[in-house]
Amino acid sequence: MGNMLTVMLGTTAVVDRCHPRQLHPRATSSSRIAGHQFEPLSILAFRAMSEHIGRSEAFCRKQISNGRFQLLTILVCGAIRAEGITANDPFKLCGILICGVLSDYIAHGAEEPAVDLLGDLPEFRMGNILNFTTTVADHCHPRQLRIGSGTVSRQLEPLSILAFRALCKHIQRHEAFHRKRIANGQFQLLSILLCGVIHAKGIIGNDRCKLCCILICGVISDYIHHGPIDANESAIDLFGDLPEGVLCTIFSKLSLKEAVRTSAVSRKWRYLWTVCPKLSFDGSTICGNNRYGKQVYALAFIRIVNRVLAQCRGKLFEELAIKIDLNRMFVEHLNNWVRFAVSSSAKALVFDLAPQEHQLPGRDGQYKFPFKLLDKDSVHRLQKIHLSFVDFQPPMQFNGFPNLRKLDLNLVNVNGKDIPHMLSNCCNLEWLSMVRCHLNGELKVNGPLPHLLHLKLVYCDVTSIAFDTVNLATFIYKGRKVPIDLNKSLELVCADIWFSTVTFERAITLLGKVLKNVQHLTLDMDCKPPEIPRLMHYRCMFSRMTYLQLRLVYVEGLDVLSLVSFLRSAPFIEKLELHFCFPGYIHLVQEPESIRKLPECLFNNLKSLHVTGFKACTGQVEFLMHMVENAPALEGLTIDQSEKYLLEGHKKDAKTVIDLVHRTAKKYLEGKISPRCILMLL
Amino acid sequence: MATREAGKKMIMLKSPDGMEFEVEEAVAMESQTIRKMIEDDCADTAILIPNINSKILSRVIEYCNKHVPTTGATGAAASDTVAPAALAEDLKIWDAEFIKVNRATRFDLIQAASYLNIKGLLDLTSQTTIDTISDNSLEEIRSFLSTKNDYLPEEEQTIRRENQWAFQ
Repeated sequence: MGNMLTVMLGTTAVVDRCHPRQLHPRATSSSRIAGHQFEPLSILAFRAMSEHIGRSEAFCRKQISNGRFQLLTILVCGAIRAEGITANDPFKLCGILICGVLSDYIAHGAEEPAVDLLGDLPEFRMGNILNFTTTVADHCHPRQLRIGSGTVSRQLEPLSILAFRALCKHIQRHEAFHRKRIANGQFQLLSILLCGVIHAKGIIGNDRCKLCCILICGVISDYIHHGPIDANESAIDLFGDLPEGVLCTIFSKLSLKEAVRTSAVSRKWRYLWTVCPKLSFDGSTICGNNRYGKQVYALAFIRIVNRVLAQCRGKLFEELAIKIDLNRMFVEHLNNWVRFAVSSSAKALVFDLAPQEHQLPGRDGQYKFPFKLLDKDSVHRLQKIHLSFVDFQPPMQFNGFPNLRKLDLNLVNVNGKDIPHMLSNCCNLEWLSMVRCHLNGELKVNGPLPHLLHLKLVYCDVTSIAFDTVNLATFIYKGRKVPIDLNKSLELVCADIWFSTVTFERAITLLGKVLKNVQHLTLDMDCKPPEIPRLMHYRCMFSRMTYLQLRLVYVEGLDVLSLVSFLRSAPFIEKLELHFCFPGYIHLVQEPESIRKLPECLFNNLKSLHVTGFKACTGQVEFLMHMVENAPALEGLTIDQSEKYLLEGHKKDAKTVIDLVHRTAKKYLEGKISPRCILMLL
Repeated sequence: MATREAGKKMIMLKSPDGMEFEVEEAVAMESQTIRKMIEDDCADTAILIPNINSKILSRVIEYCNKHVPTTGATGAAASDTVAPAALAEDLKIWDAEFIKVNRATRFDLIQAASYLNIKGLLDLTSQTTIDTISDNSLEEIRSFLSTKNDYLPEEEQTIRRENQWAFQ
């Protein structure tokens, strides 16, 4: 027991002197006797060691035993590896190195201890320590130890076993040790263990190697057991060591501001953010509120962009995005930024220059997209172009962007003649959106676009549309009722169409051919009543349609016949949503009025019917009755008197008496609706 | 059932510390790196996964096992019985539990996900870092990354001035 106390005292003394802060270069001045002796040694050694390991990974595979680095190294190596610390972790190197030095020292300096080799390891429960010890023990199986160099291993092997035994005994006697959380949480039981062993072997107290090893083992054990908790104390930066690809992934998900901010984390992080593949400058987030007027705001923005780009000079990045209200003074800078993007091999350009004000100014002052700055390589490289409020005029004989995947043009000045030609040559295009780009003519793209999946044309003033796209999946069109030719797009699944004033008859002739395979259709239109209201019998036009959403604006009266005729062209629908909007006043159905019964036409698959803007006018009641009687499988019927989609500028009709509408609906549906169907009145 | 079991092709993955893991081909193919090897017919015998120890590799396989039915071809069978939304929710909870590991392990998982090119796992493992960096003060970021601020005060001032906008 007296012996043990001495060990303890020794340990505490060592512990006190070897605080890891002494490892820190700046701590030199304050380090005590032990400190400044081992500090340079360990630092030097780390360097040598990390180089060594960098060169040959064989270390991890336990193949090195050239006399310098010994088996204890391997032991620690194995233990650390089992704990999942990676090869470039400085602590691992540290531990490996020091243990090597130690074992070297011990092997050559100490006599062979006379101990029972496979002394029984008493069972003890010490949480982490137990795990660690077991791992170490696994890795230090005597057989493994013998694989290495002959004499040395035989000397070392008993030593480590001795150490474990000492530890176990120690713990048995002084369980309080663990509970006390000794030595400010820095140095753990492994230090004590080694301390004890060394003490038992009679190595002198002020020995450099001894102190060194005690310290390092302590740090390692500390790290292993408490590292994740004591994050501040063990100064290792795992994430800074990640491969660049992973850093890229991480930085690409941060905003530019957040990424740049990391430059102040530490020296290592100074320029890490420049791997960020996406440089996205958004005026509203990087300049804050516009407090000082437009000019100052614009100048601040320009300065920030230029500074950031200067720091990224020479780096490659994927995307340059600029979002700011266009100001005349930008033009030259925008050109510079395009040059920069070209020189940095950017694959994507995003210029969103549309003014934030609600009223859009004329298009005269638009930024002219600098085609002349793009060299041949960059034309080939560009995969994504997103422009808003830009003048986009390809030069004569411009042959398109062969690798362009996504083209998004919003409020862009285009020339109706050049665009179809350019698009014909963008044969890898997958996503095309044009919003308010006035083509003032036909959009006939002759070249095949086999990869195009998504096509959106909104208010582009086209007179006709023709695309050769075999794989098109989504088609969105808003504008005048024009002929659409997508005959080759047999895969078209979803369509969203908005037509200005049109009759159902005209709509069906326009869409019938184009959308014959479509499964989901949203049709938004101002319904014009037909000249002669009658029930048409179209053949099944939309044989695969399962979901139909109609947003119907009726300025003039509702014509049930044409609506029902339209529905008959899609007999297999499963879900129908109807949103009525009546800008004018609507009369509730009057009692003496007769509700017409339309000829039967079954919708056998219809399960769900949702009607909004239900005002219980004659036409709506007729329609509702017809649908309920012709949908035997109907499971859910929702009738909502409020209008979900309103015409712009049209205010909600506050006069509707909800109660009256509900009562009317109930009265007519009573007895007609199947008991299996759930009715909801809103 | 037995025939289905027999029909599945198994792939042997080997960690550098000598452990071998037999996994279904579909599970292994969650990794784009291994998928490529299989498609290039480089996977006749065992595939050695360098740099990833058995502990981490077994965790990665655990992840792939859990995630394979939702992305793979066997997904149809699984989603017939359970609603896809519920399945996704379940997976989310599982992911949250899976990622409750210490920092060193998470770091190894990131590296493994990056090397094996498993997008879902990479997203999952790096999300904590992304969240920390985007939501916290510099001091908190340092503490999370366990990095010490080794700038001199003047240096830090200069850096902050240089990109002042990012520190407002």
